[in-house]
Amino acid sequence: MNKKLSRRDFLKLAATSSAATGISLLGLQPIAAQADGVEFALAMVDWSDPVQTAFEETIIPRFAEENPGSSVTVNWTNWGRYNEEMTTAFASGVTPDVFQGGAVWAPQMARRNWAVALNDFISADAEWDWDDFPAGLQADVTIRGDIVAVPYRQDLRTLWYNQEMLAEAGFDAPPTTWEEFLAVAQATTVRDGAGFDVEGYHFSDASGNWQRDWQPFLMWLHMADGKFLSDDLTTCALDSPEALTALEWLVALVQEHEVTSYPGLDPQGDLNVLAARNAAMQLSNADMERVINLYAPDEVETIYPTLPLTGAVQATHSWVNKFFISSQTPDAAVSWGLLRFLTRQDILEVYSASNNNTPPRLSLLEAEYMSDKHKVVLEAAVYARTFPQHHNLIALFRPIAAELEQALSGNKAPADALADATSAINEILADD
Amino acid sequence: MATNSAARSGHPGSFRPWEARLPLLLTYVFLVIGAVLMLMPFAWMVSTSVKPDHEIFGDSIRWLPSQLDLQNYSDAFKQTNMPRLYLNTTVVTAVSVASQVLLGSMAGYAFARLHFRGKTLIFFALLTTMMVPFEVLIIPVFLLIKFFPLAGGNNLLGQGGTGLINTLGGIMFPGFVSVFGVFLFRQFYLSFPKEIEEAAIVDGCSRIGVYWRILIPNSKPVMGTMALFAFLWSWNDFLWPLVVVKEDSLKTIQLGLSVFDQEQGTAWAELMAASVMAVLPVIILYIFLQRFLVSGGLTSGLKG
Amino acid sequence: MNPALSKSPYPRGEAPDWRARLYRFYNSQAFVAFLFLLVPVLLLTALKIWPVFYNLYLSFTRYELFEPPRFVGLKNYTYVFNNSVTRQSIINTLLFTIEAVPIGTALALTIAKLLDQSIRGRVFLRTLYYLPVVSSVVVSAMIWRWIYSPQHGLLNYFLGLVGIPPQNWLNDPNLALISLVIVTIWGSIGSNMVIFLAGLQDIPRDVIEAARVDGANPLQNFLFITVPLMRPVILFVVVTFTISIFRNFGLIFMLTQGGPFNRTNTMVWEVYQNVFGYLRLGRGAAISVVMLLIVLLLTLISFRVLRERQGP
Repeated sequence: MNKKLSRRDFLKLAATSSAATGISLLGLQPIAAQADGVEFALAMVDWSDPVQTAFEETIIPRFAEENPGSSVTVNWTNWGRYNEEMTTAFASGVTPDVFQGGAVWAPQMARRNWAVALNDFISADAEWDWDDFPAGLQADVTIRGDIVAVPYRQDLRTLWYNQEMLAEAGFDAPPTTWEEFLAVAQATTVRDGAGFDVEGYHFSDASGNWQRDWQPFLMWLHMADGKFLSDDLTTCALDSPEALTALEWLVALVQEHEVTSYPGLDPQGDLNVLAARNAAMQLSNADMERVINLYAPDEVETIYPTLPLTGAVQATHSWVNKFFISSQTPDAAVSWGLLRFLTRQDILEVYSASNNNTPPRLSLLEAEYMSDKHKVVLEAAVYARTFPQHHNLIALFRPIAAELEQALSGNKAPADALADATSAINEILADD
Repeated sequence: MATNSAARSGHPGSFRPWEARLPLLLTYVFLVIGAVLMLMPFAWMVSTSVKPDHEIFGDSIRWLPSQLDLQNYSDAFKQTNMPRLYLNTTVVTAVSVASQVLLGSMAGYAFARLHFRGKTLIFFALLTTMMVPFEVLIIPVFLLIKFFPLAGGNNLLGQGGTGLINTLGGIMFPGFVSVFGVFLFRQFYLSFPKEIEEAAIVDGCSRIGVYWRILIPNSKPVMGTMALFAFLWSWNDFLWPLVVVKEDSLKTIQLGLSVFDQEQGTAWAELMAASVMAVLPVIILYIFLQRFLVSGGLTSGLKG
Repeated sequence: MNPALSKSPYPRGEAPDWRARLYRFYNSQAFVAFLFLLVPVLLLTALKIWPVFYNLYLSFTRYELFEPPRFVGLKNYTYVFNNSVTRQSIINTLLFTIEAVPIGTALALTIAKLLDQSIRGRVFLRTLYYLPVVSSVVVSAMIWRWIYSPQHGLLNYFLGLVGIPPQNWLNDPNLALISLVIVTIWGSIGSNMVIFLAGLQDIPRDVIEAARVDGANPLQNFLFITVPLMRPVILFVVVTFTISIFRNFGLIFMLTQGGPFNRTNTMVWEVYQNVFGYLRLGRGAAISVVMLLIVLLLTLISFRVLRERQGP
């Protein structure tokens, strides 16, 4: 209380505060679209450095060139927070014009009316050529007759293996069935006391993400000819004998055969386990090739993909990523201009090549960047299944992800884990 | 108190000076080890932020970089659009500090000095809200901001637009007033000698005049405390801006930092540089204003 | 002389009656109070009081934002207590509290006690201990994410020095919550310490001095004199600390996103998930209400104890 605050100071304080309030409430609101062009907001989530570079240096500048006066603001996010971020955006009423979405997004967007149906734009735009997309991908984005999105990537996974490690163990060809797979995995595993020097099969990395066990399990589930939901989408199908076969198989790989560690070994920096020779086999997508070319050039001639394994059936899963037009975009026809540009053959090639994505267009299958390895990955498309079209898949995945962890770490019998997951999922389904 | 405790720990004139000093020595050892542990994360942040990449990912830990590499700072500065983040955060924080000080002192004065009907009721209603954490009210406050009348294209009933969502005003709105501030000022004014005010009233000063000419100029310590707290809350707030802001151009510094390169979590040097830039203003302010914090702020929480 | 009229430009008695009345009204306690309280009370009603009731209302409805709320009775509450994920979030919150609060409080009290003597550098030390409090949760999380990094993290490096293999702190289901607890304790020692320092000043010195003269060593003195006398303050700290853990959103958002496998999924995270992940506002509101009830209960207990202390 020694010094007095002068009244002038206080007045200044008050004046500053009210002025600042005024400015902030009025002045700093987002700038509205300019009259002479269109300002697009684009939300990107499939984010990596090469993709960002491709967008900043090639794709966006080319769009500006072709559409004078228009500009695109790109907002980069990552998958971990994307669903919440988009939901908040729609709840707020402030959304991007065009946005990316994941494999489970189409039914959810259609259900909430958050995506513009594209049928009319597509049928009026012969040059852009919807028929260039394979029928399976078209079906994935078509909800009750409405095309609600355009695929930009099929995240196809198949078996990758280290040829040299297999050869050293006496195998000159990759496995094709579960039995062969087990034999190779057992022969290539190198134990180090309780731990592993080499995993014969790398189930997943030790990330904390709930997708860690769920995504590889899904592929084994398909191979066992199991399903996640019943065909009419009203009940969970994980209490089936097929699902039990898949989970018991995985648990046996961890606990009985001890050919994979759970949780899996960590990647070493940018080297994944296959490139670091810490594992002999892994289910992965074409990103494997990109990472090896980039960080492990010595292993380029040793690591190869092969077709999906055959359990009850030969199968794998394809995560179809896509672009949507927000239902809140001021003019859907104008936003279609951006979407058709992004998914046009030449632009999609630049995008796909930047990240070695498996392209969703038939005309890109022979694109220059498609290596022989990538073509093998692509062959797996024939065997790939996609997600059932339920609008609440993200919530439905939660119980099974948690139960998988319980079963794989040996805390719960596989049958109990699946039964618990099924009842939890059925509860969510019944509540809808 | 100081002389008292000096006598306690020093044991002057003791027969066994070495033994007498042992507790003091142990105290120091414990406190210094503790302080090092508390400080180490910050030191590690600063050290990482000025290292070139190969020293960050080397096989052994390097405490000090071989050379000062400020490249990380300029990279982070560009990648996060730091000037914009600083500007947004400064505007939001300045408004919230000024508003909390002004409204807190006005309400505090009313509760401390004025008699009016319903005072106890209003006072206790507000007292109760102090127990309600903001986090549990996030849904209604979000709806309030979204359906804010006559803002962001909304009509008088709050329909049709986006309200204060995605505006700096929306970020600020919950920070205009804090119950804590009201109580802080009330507490302070209660202990302010009444005689001075009475003398002023005898001299013909109005009530608002008394508040304006006597209480305000003498409120510097409590204002400092309030300002510091309001600054910390506002500058460091995260959940609310996360919910309200949709666009990069409106992000506050915490938000900008949180989304900075999470996926490719290997850009540690840039991340740490950005963190240093986010925390530096707070630490500087804290060092200058810390006496307010200890003297006025938290003890009153106990007595309030 | 009537002070209220002394400033009036009119000599006493000549002033028009309405001006005097106006001034009297202007200077009345009720008017000034109204003027001074109008904005703060309106704002606090809109931001603190109305939301509590509206939240309560929403918790009995199904609300997905694009259709009006539909009344569903207690359905959300049965969901909260029956669904394994939400139930686990309640358990996680309590586990978090149990793991963080006793150790964090004991450390803060010990440090406060040691700093409560006129030793050299105590202001400096106090400043250092308080630094994590002023640093934001986002910055703290960033730093600790880097310290916990499995490959190049500082913590695994230290563990390696004593022969413990590297751990995957934030991604290991058995370690994730502990990792968050460590950051929380680190970030809260400073603020709890300051409250303890204030409380220690109220302890009569002669009691401690008397005990010392009677032969109590500093440790005995601390355990048997200081701690019992500080009981109300300790309780206050325990309550505020617990509430701060209930509120802790940023750390979970930044470090674990509720994972791995829901092990760090606390109630505040579950609210966020239900509202902005699944757009189930009613369910989120119900969890908020449960949270609020726990917090209120804790606060009331602490107020009661404090009043008992101030009573005599």
